[in-house]
Amino acid sequence: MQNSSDISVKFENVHLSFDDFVLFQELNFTIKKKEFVSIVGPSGCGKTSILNLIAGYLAPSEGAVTVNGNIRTVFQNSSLFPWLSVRENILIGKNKTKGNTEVYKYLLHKLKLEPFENFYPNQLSGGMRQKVELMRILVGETDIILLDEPFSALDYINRITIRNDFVNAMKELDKTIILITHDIDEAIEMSQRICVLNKKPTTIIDDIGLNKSYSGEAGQQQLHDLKYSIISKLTT
Amino acid sequence: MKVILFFKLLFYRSALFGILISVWWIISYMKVFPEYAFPSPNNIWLSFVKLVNSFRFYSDIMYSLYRILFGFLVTIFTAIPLGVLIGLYLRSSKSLITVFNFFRFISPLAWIPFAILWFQIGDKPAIFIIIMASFFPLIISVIAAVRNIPESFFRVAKEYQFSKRDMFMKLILPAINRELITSLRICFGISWVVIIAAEMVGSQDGLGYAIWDARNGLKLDVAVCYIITIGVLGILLDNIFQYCLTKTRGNVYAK
Repeated sequence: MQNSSDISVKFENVHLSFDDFVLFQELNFTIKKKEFVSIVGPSGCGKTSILNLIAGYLAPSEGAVTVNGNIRTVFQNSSLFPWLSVRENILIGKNKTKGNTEVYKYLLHKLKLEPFENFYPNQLSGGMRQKVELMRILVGETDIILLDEPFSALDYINRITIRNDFVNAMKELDKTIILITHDIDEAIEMSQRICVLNKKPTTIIDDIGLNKSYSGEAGQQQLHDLKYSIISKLTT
Repeated sequence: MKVILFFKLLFYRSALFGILISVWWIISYMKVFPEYAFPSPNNIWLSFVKLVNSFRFYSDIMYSLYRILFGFLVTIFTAIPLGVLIGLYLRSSKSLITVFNFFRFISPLAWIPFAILWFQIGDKPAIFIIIMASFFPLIISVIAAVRNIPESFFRVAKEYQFSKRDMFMKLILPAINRELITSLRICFGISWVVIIAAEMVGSQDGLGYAIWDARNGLKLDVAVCYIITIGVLGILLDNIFQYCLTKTRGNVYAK
């Protein structure tokens, strides 16, 4: 039996339907504290609905969603306030404390955003906006981070670099992270565990734990096999 | 570059007004209308000089400005908070909007008889008419603007635990400020038009009454002077709103 204080998010027999359309039937899963979980699945399978259930913007029709800790979300499209500068956007609401200002300066340097501190969102590139958004999450006090395809609107190079920046920054802060993505490479590269969803009514068809020791040629082969096994599950 | 642009603009504007005055002068010179009904530019100039040296001219302007400012402030401090509250909390308020629309489509001038009955002659009926003219268009546009704020912004506010004050000052007000200033500008235009008519019947002073008074005394040259004053003041006041627009960094939503 798991200790309940180790659990960050728990779905118990969650049903979710919109009028006649049944999206989830008997959805069960548990996410432990400080775990990095990716949720992959075909589009329309309800990935974002899972995040909305966790964040409390949707209530399950039946069953229960238990969440321990406060939540912050990074969206697919920028949710930075256009009328605030980078600095003001990051030190927003509860983020604005003395201690956080130190963290802010440190991260600003680390993410190479120093020259853009006083810029406004519309003066930044898409990649930089997403960086600022990630930084806003990292500065504050939060237990659970929800990532709703945060890298999907970026070009290839930006995606790789920002992903790396994020993973590096995450190593220092132990937080529960739930990543929604349709990019299997991204899921394999970033997370410790992958939940694969199928379509209508959505359930978890596979739950893969990743140990991060895929080194050498054998390791590469293993990753390659893993990727194609996920793809084949998603396409059938 | 800026200086050249300034003189270019000045040239075009003066040329345009020059043409207008010439047409006016020609019509009056040809005596299409009798002199008392269509004063010539020189006559207007002479009475204008007389007017700007009289105390009454300034007191009329001040009366009109005071009424419009008072009415407008009442509208601002009622329509904006009310519109924000409705926009935020009443997600389906179609019937309420219909009521506001009903009043919006009634010409504010239709209230003049009631305004005089309720508030007698003086400042109050004019102020009442200003409120009736500006409240309904403003509240409708505030409701619409609040509903246009992207949902994700409210999620950010919730996740970062905004205080009620931050919610209003840092999210809602800046998110709607450009739309707000534009509708204030439009409402002010309506009010400026309406106050003249309101003062013609409901007051003993102000720019509207001055025109009416000049007409009664068959001093149409004075009436024209007041008409020009109204137009010039309207442009100047509108420029204040335009200036505010250039100074706001509104919701240039990041794509």
